[in-house]
Amino acid sequence: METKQGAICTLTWTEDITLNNVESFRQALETLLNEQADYLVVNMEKVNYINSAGLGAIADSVMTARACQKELVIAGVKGSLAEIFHIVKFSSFIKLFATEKEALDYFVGE
Amino acid sequence: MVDGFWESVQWNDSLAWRELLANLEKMNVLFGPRDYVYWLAAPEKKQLLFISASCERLYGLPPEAFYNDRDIWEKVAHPDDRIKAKDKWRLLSQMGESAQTYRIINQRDGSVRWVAEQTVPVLARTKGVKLVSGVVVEITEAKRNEDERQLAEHVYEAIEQAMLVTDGQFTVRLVNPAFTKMTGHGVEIIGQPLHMLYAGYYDAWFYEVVKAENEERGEWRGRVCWRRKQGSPCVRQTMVKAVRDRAGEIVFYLFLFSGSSLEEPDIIAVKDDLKLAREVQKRVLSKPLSAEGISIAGTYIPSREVGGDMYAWYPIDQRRYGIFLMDVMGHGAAASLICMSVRSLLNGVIRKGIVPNEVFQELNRHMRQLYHENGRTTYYFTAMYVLVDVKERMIEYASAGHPPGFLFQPDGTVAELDRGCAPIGLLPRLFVESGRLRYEPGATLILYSDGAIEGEKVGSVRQKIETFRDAIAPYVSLDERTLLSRLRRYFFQKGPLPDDFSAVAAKLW
Repeated sequence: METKQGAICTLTWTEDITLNNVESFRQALETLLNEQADYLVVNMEKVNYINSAGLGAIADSVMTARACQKELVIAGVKGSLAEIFHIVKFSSFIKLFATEKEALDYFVGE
Repeated sequence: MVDGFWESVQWNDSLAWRELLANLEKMNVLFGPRDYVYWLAAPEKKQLLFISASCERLYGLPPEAFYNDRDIWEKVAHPDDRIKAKDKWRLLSQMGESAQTYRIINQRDGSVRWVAEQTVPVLARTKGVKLVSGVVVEITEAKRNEDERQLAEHVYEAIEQAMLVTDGQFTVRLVNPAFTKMTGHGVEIIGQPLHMLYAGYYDAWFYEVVKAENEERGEWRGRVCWRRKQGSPCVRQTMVKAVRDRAGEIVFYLFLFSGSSLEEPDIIAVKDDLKLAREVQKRVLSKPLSAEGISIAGTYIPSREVGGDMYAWYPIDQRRYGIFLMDVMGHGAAASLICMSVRSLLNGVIRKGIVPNEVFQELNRHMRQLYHENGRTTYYFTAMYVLVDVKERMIEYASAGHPPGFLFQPDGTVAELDRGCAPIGLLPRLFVESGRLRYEPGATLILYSDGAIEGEKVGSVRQKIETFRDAIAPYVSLDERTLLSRLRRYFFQKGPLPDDFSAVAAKLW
């Protein structure tokens, strides 16, 4: 996991999210939410699988961010991860981007 | 050799003898099988008259070494056998009839071999000389096999784990005392087909699964309900491993059973409670329904004692039916309890809300009230809800984060039911996009839980969904119960399920 600071704060998660590490993922999201930035990106480019608890953690984080007048988006949504997000209809309440650049462009208004 | 022949030969001319026998050996007359060693000796003279050339392979020494050294038996003997070898000439000269002895011999490379030596008096005493012949056969491998067999037998008898061996056709060949202790079955079961020991959970497909898993993974593991001799069932985690011969063919199957004697009484009590919960959960699933324009049936295979899948259907009025299938995040008792709490509400929610948007919004409110604490989603579920209007021949559906259902039309086309919203309980408010589809008489609606696609080892989620759709396609012309029966068989053949599996089939006319 790596967090980049700035007006836009990015959390890069590089492992599949399973029972073994879902709590670490949840804690990383909490850390991200506590950053000063209003725009939050979770880069999941290296993630191929996310379990149901991981999906719950993302949904909770999105709602917490909104309550704090922040916006959290997911980047690196491709391949099997995109299929999972499509099935659970996450695009109905969260912005999903194929690359981190697209997510950053969204926040800077390009 | 016969009497008279001997007299015609210069008996004391060992070289002549040797020449004759060596020539016979060359002609493959004297001793065909070259793995054996034949020798002829005058023991009282401590003289070896002939030894077949095969001695070089067995003893590592040429025939000349035996001819030129009267103490050769002692030298080739293993230290443990040296005293016996030292006395060999004396014993041979005293022998009156054939005898068999076992010896250990040394090899030049330091290895040892086991041999069996059969000695036979050749001729009656003639001119004060007695002849004895011997055949030496190597039995190292047989001896090793015998040692291993004895060891295996001791282990088999002494080990506390219940074991059973069948042949390649699953006929029982061996049971150990621990198996007898566990089931009451003893030697009377030997020779019987294995399924005599089942208690009804498994059928002929079990053999196929065991064979296939052994081919693919080298073993099969799963829970099997065995039948004790007095008739009661006993569920045991069972491992089946194929034993192959040198040609790679399966000759035996070894069954190893886990014991339950080490389980604490508390654990057993919890398991009994979970079994009861499972029964309760199965009982609340809707029974098959058959009405004008529609017939519905469902099937449920839990992966553990209790699971998080549930389905139900309700007639709403004369022409509309609500069909619902859900899958709670996670497994076990907690998932089962969520199912039961939703089930208790469902009838009222569906009859009041009727359309997918209202039904899902109401269920979402319920889940958020009960299972959302301190900004953290503790539980949520995915679901598929289909409202069928048999008069209009129309379905209205929504999927709450659930794998898409299928609507198979009689013309062979398939529509995926992929519109909907996020899972129930995940968000404070849902944005439900429902879909509408018309159907032709004879259409088949299939809803399923993700256990149907999680068992596939390879491929993306999309590919797994398509694989499942293609597996159903050949059966959609069948009635709903036969179709589900084929689906169950399809999943049983794939072995133990990693997740609960449930499916609903509705024939629409």
